Amino acid sequence: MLPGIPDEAAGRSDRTGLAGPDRGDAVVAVTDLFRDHHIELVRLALIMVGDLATAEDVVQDAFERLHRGWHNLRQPSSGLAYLRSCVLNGCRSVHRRAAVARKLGPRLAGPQEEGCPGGASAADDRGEMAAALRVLPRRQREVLVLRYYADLDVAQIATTLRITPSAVRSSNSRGLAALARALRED
Amino acid sequence: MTDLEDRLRRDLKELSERAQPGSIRPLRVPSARKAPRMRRWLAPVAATVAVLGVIAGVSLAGPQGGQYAGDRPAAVAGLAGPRPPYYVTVFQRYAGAHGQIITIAAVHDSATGAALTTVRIPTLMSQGGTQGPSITAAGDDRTFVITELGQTGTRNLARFFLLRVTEHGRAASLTRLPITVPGNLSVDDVALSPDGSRLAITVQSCRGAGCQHSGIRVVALASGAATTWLTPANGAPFNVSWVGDAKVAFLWQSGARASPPTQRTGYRVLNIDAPGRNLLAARAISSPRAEPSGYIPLALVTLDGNVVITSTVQNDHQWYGRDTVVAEFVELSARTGKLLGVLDTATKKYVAPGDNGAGLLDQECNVVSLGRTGVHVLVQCFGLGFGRLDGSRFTPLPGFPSPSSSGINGQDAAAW
Repeated sequence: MLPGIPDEAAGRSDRTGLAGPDRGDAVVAVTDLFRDHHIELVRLALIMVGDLATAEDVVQDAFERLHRGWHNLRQPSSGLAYLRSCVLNGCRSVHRRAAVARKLGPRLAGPQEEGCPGGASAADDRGEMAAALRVLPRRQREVLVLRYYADLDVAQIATTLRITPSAVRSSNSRGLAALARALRED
Repeated sequence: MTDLEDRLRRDLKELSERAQPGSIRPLRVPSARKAPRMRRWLAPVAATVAVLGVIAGVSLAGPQGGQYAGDRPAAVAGLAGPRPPYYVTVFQRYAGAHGQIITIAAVHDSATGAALTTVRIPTLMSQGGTQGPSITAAGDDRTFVITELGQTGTRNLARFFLLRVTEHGRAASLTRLPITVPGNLSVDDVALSPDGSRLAITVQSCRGAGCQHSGIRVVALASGAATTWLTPANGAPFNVSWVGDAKVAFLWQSGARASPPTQRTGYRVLNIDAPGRNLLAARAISSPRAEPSGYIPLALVTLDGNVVITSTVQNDHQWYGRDTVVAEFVELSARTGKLLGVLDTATKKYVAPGDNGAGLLDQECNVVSLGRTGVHVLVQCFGLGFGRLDGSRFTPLPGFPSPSSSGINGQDAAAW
């Protein structure tokens, strides 16, 4: 059984009562995407919002949207790209509601985290990096995370963020420069 | 690959590994929505709720479940009043060979949208700004306060600038206000009183991973004297605005999923002349309906305190390619929540280029700034763009976002 999805989820196209032949496909495809990418998306959201519960909520919302709109998907292969965009949009909403987000925890994972492998010094380094990322403008932060965490290329980042490839490149270089300055200052 | 890129890749991977497969909650089954608010096409889909638990959000049907009163005149339309002559936008852009970030305020003629003058604002970005600048207006059509926020180490920085526009709008003077906010307090929203004498600031006291107090700080511009209403409750105030010169409206957003009645999320009005310093003693007023995500749209209260002006967005599919999105600016009774009028409606059929329409999801409609009579509202909406609502007549205006803006923190600011 997939984590979080009851056994009967897969292949239940005949019993869902959904109209149209692609409804069953939707269940199967969303289930596949969930199995293959759920943890990766939660981690992406965790980096952006710094709070695991919030990250899980953001990803849940993304899967909801994907399932609701699956029948309009022109290329089923773009489901993952859509999920990534939804997750980033959800994280932006969290930041818009930053007043509450701060109440619940740090926006980006900080050095207070417990039980991190690698000992105190590694945790400090990561906290320093998180703090440096936190003060970057939003677009630079998103580009750096997609580039260096999600391993997306320029074209994929441009599609995900709906910006031009040149904007991706300039945000990447400016973000790296700002990050270097911030880490030196610390 | 540079050392920095290596380190970034490594640190991000390690940061993300706080989430382990066994530590993540399963997808939850959302609570079912009430039948009358479900759209027909959702009925069969609801059968799959138990399977994937993925039907949580149905688009808004309006603040009264779709029971709009047709084209009723705006509730405040009888209040005659001149339109503010200027609106001011604030934006940031990159400048110079080193990509320095600068902040600009631009004064526009609200009749034509023409940019009349610009003023450069000292920026805090070099000290680590995480939010864009904000702007708030007094009721004299000439006085504005611009806020710059930043951070150095664990200390929060906030600077406030008074912008005075000359009679013909062709020039403006900028003065830094002698207002300080303790570094342990973070600032979220700022609103200038209609008489231009006081500033209401939403603040939070945060240490380590969480925040201990939140509240509203009211500061006299002339003396810098401050009074603060605080609460240790789990939540925070934001979307602050003034209701006359002695009351402050704000959205209390509870941070707890199951909050006690006294702490429930919603708009409130705080009488700053009343005794006591408990923020949650503020009187609750009607609030716009929360979106499925729990997000409550921005709302502004007219100066007489009777009418809440807000927006609703209804998106049938929230999906790229074939969305039909309906946005409305509405007036609600502050006392009963009853729909008083629909100021304007925008319907947009959205066709996304390429095969990724998720950009739509970040789009919203917002009331940006309310003129002192409540008749004239600056609004911004994906279907309408930016413009002014005079009663129920919409006129698009330029400059928001500014074509010169680099969109550094996602959003420019505007006020009149």
